[in-house]
Amino acid sequence: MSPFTYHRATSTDDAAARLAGARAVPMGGGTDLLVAIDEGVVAPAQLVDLRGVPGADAVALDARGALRIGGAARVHDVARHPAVLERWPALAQACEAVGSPTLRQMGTMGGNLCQRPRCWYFRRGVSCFKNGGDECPAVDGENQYLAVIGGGPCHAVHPSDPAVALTALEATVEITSAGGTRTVPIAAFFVPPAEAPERETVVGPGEFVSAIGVPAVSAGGVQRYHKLMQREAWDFALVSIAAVRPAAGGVRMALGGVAPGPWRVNSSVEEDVASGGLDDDSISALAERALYDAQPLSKNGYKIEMAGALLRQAMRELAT
Amino acid sequence: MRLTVNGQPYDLAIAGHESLVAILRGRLGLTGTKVACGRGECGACTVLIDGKPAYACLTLAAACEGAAVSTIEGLGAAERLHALQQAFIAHDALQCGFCTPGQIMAAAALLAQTPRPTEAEVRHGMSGNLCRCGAYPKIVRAVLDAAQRLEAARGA
Amino acid sequence: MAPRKRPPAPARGASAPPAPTEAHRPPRFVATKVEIEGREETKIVELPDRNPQPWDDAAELHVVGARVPRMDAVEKVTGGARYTADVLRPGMLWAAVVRAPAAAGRATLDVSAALARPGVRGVLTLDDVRGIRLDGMQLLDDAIHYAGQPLCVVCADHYALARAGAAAVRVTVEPAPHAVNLEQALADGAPRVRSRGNVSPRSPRLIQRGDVDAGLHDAEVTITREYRTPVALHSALEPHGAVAEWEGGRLSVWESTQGIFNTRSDLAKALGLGLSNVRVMKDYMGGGFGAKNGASAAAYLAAVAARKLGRPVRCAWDREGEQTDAGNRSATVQRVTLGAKRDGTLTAIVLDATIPLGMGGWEAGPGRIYHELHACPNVRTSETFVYTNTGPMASFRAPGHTEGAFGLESALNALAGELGLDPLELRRRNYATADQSRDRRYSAKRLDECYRRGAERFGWHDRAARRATTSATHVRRGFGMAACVWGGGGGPPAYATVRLNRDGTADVLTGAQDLGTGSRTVLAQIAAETLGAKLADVRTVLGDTERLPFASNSWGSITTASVGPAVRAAAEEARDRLFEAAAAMLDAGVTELSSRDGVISVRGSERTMTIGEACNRLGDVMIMGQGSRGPNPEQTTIPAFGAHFAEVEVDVETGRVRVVRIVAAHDSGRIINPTLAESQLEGAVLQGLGYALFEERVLDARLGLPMNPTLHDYKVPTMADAPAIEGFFVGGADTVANHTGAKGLAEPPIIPVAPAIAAAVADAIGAEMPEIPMTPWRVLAELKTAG
Repeated sequence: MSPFTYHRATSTDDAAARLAGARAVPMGGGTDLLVAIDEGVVAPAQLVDLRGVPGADAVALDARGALRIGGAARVHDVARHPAVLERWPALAQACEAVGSPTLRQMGTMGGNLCQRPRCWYFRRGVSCFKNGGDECPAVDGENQYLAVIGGGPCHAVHPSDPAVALTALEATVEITSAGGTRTVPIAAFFVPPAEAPERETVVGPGEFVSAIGVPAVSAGGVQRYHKLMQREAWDFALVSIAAVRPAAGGVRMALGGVAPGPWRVNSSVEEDVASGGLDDDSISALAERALYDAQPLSKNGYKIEMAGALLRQAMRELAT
Repeated sequence: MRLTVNGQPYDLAIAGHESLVAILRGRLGLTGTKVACGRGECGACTVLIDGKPAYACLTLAAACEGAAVSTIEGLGAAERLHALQQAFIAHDALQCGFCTPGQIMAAAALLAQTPRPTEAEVRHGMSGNLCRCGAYPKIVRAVLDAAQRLEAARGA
Repeated sequence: MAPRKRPPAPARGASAPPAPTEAHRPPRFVATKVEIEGREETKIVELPDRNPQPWDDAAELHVVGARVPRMDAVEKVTGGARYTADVLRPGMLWAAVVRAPAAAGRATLDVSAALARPGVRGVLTLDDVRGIRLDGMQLLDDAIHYAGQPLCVVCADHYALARAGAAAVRVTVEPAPHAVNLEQALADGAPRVRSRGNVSPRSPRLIQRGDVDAGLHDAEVTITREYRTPVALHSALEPHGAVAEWEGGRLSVWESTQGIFNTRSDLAKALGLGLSNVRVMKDYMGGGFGAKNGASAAAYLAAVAARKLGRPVRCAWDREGEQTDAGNRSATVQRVTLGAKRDGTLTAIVLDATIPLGMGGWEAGPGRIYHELHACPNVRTSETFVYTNTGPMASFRAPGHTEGAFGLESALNALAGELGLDPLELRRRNYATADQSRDRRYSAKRLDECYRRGAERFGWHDRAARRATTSATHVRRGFGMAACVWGGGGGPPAYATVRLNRDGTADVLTGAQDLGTGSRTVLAQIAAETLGAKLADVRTVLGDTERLPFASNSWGSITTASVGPAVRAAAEEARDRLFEAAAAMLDAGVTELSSRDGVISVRGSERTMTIGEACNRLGDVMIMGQGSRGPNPEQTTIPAFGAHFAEVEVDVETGRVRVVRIVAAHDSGRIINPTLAESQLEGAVLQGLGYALFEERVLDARLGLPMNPTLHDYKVPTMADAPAIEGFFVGGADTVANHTGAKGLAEPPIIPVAPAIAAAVADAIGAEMPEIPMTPWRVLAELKTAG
């Protein structure tokens, strides 16, 4: 591990001030960051630990019934929080599906959103678009785990499960720096590779995720998160889905494991699901429509079938 | 900085990048916690930090100031084995033993949070600890058995 | 049977005539055959002085056969067990390995920056280890043979410093074309992987019996299939590693090894040392599974570095090294043709297999099981071993047979489908009562019991009704079965000494290994039984070439069958000596004495004394017994068999397979400790499950690089993946094999798992599964072809 210094931030201002320094990066549980450093994917000079910032790990309802999740809240704590379980179960299920039980207790929500993709070309230092190279070695190689939608020039998928649920829940992400705070809708949080393959999120140098907001209007109703993995546990999603039909109405669905960020299903498909009265044939047709833009690589076409299965299952669940 | 391990304080000069497991094994002689992957992918280095499970290979020692670190050595010794250790022995929930300290610490964390787990809860709750020898079925039985013993000891 | 005694030595004297007995003295050293991992070797064995009465099924045993707890469990659950990874020597340096970033070419190293780094004490390069070769390759070669090949080693005061030093080594690669898979290695104009070419000189390995062409001609039904198995990685949690320390010209090495004596001879030879100047120690090890069978590259590097730098050196693989450069189970392509009569009688078994071996390793091959498992007069296997620019093969739990069983048993199940026969019945109809592959008898065979009791326990005959019950319309249930055979006999040489201490406790000394297999406990049980001692008073001492008599590697499932009899003989000799002394103390005849639970009794009387009392009365006299493993029975195959029955659920929309249940019935003779035996069985089944569903080394063929050398991306089963496993042994002492009646049991249970699960999946989805691991995408692909 290349030497870096460690600083435990004592307040938001302290964290922001430190992160303004050269090659300083925010740290939550470190469960991805320390591995990425070991691999040479990143080489920071200072780690700023956010977990000690008072209130940064809080998970609480505000007066309007919205949920505020501190950026340093542990994934496990969100998964088991009574308010989350009751009102935003898709998020609870997604958090419960992350990594392993221990990783869930170590890892923070902010860190989970900001983790780097696990494309093995990228992580093993093979020159690629994401690490400053000018090709994607996976296109002609072992791309079984990569994107089938929205990829190009980089085809890595984002590995976060909570991000998929947060997308279906139309959450917002609060980003803090020495320059202040900004709030970004989750749909704008992930950066398409066509725009900037070397990054995955809008979090820039000196910034950190300070909170995640989940609106009250997304609460209740029928909510599911399903994750398909190879093993029964401790795997990144091959394909996953968050499907919600909040008490307030409407249907929102997002897929994980298929795109460089969570993939929000086309709104016209969502509306057709919401309008109800679906039989098996119409469900199949809708699922196909949702995946219409899919362009598989040489080895990952199976994800389209899996996504179709998850979409159909989700539509049936939301219909009840 | 001061590192508190198994109730003992240690004053050590620690560089920011040093992992907790390297300090435990290399400086404190607590070699019960094992390194099998060094990347948080196997669970062999599982310890408790303030009662919560953590992979010590992905834990910076510097981040543990003020926290109580517990390792397998602190859980129980030959003269006074913890219920989990007894159960692992009784059910032969180990073979080569390399993953065993991590398994037991993960189980301790699980039982602290879920004192009466179902079999499914044990399987999933312990899924963050690999055992290549394949002692899983017996580990599950041992953890369920230990849960009962601990409950009985609590007089529940 | 009375112990065999040598006749008295003849009188000496210049004019003494040759004693009449000399001409008739039985030879002390004879040849015997020992099967290890399917390779039969002829070994010289010293005929033991005694041959204990065989423990047949009628023998009344109290400690042997009992479910006693593993004797080293306390050390393991308290973190007190010391593995090679835990060995810390004063002044020890840590080594970090620099590895080749490409699969072929030539490497030039600039180590100057590394040497300048803080704490770095030295670097080992090719010049330091010239002449040391592993798997046919020069250690630290500057010619690159596979990605991940060690190029040099940096030694520093702490591991972090060594790694930083290693990162500072400048490696310049002059690339060359590589061949990392069969297609590349066998193509026209393929790059030359080894100087001898890309196909091993022993290829094709042709083994045949009978007349296969006639057999195919006689067949009423033939099927042909092609099966593929992946490269699998042992993934032991403790990586390969060693600590080496010199004292003058004497070398001490701690290594995570399955063979302390092998490691010793390897190191002595490489370093030009006398054997008695090399001491190898191994207390506990974090898994081996066949990969750790002698001095590893880490051991050589540690030893040479320690000598060069004048300090103890630890050299251990990190996880990436372990998943790249610690051996592997070879991939195979198996083209199988079976010919049979309508009633299922096999008339021909044909295999044509191609096996990429990596840079080397031995040619285990899938073929041998085709000759050994089922009855068939005409069998022909042809195996072509191909070299590739990838890490060399190393034995991995039932090497060869595990790969071959996937092909053979899957083909048999496919044949059953074609014939409309129950797969179990098909196997029953081709039941070999003698070893047709070597044309000789079995010492014992209870595969029929495995079939019968396994099927019963599983409910095999009721499966049709259960097939219909699933949780959802897109989930299908399926059932499958498969069988196995493996060599179970072990053999000599193996030695043991049993020493009684003055307080009556006993030490069992033998240079065998416990990999987590439980040998420590099993050997203590045998000794305690024989001595009539309390098990708690018996301790097994393993793991030190200097202090202990020879036992061979713990591989091939041979330890119990090889070392157990030696321990028993040693304990019996110790007991006999003890009884001689105790007889006088108890005023009885030696033949009136018996012992049990630490107490010596006189038949028909109330007089007793404890073993401890007897030893104490002898003062400092040390009662010792020595024993050795005798020869194997002539012209006899000593097998272990098994049959597995699997139930799966397959989601036909996602291709995901869930194994619900496996029943595993095994025939391994007498079981010394059922608890430990069941642990081995379950562990083997779980490794087989990984092989069937998840595990494959992934290479990028274009780049020549392994892509998944981690414990996450190379997917070994987690606890959540464990199915219900009901494993049991059908029992029955095999006293033809050896006088303890016990045989090998640790490897056979991995063999049938993948074909049993594949058959169950095929049953569920109505399409055969020709390739493992059965990842969701492979299952979906087969579902597509099934239409």
